[in-house]
Amino acid sequence: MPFIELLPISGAAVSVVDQRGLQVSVAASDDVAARLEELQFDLGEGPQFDCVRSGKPVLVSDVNDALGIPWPMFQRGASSLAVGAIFTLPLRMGAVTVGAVTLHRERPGPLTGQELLEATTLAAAITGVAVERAFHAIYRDEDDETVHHPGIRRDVHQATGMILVQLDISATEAFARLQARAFSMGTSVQAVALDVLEHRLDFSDLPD
Amino acid sequence: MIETTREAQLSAAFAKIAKTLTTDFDLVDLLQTLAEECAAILDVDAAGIMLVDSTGELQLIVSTSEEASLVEVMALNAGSGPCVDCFTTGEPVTVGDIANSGGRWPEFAQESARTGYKSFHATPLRLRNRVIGVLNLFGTEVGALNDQDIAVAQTLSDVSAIGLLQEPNIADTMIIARQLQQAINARILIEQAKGVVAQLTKVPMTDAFSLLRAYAREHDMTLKAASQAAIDRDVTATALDELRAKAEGSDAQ
Repeated sequence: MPFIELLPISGAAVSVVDQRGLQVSVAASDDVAARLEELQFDLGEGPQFDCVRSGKPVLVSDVNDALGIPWPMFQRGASSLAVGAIFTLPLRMGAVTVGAVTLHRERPGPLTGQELLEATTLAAAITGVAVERAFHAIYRDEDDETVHHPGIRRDVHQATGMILVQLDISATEAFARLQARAFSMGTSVQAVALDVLEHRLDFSDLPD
Repeated sequence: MIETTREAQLSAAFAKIAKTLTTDFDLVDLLQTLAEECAAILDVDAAGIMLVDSTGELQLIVSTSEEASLVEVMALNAGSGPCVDCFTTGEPVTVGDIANSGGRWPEFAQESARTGYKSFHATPLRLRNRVIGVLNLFGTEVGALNDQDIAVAQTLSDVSAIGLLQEPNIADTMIIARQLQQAINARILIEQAKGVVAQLTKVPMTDAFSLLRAYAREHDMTLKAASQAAIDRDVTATALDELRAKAEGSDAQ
């Protein structure tokens, strides 16, 4: 990925999002980058949401500065991954923000003005490819999805459909229950979704 | 009294549009605001905005409702309706009674009748001397917009068009962005519906998809519509079981 070669960062992840912030993961350079994206998907909070909402870069130069970071759950998760700084840049098409690229490194500290400019230019340059890959991810067979390339996270949405029947609630509520379960068990939404899909977990058996 | 309310509404609309033009400018926001304000202030029931893309086709960018009926009427309108006349002449087009519009736009009239829209007004979106799109207003009652309403629609459109100055290929990029959003939404909907079907029938996920598709065919629906019905719980386990029995019956033969 060009970001890693040209900038003082350790990893990058690119994803495309819909208005509700549901991602299509396009690429991740390493496990930490993939996990940072998954964390935000699981928690429904983090710099990516703010970046997509505002269309502006969200720069977190010190992840360990718990008081200065507006996403408490994400902050805990990110610092436990030994991440020092996270820089999230919007992918824009015309006036529309279609996704974000998330850069991370162990060392805290801001990007210089020049580095930020380079990162912004790179983000603009990869937007077309990112959108193209997202379309592929949406239409291709589910067998191509893996933990490292979760694509549109089909298993999470399938599990959401099962849970909404199990509890007779809306899809939005079902997804929230899935997120809450993952959070309370200290695991990922993906892992809970797999338990549901493989019939190890039925939400109608859980106490309210 | 009515005049004052009207004036207040108008200045509020201008303020809203001006705000989207200055703070965190976002074109989709701006156009959505324009459509919604027009639908709220003017005597119309639905509004949609089309912009011309680089191939010269009019493309639907925003509408006050994503209902299939409105989207379909708008699409037809872009091909062979009064919207095209407005776009090519650069002049507003008012159709007070679509059903009695003298057979000028037969397909548009037919689709409008089917979906319940009875009157229509098109306002050109003009940028300098170019027409770059059309604001479409639909009413469910017969009757032309009065001159004052027409002037309001034009003024709001002219103000909004300023926002289009900065992006020459805006329609193309926005169409891709919009298609991407729709593709993501449709895919998520289908995956959720597969989950619903799998839970209701206890079939494996791969069979759930075939069953969902069979249900869509049986009911002459799109896969997306069938998926929405499944998520809304309008698809019963019994209906699915019957479909499954039918499929197994035909396999056995």
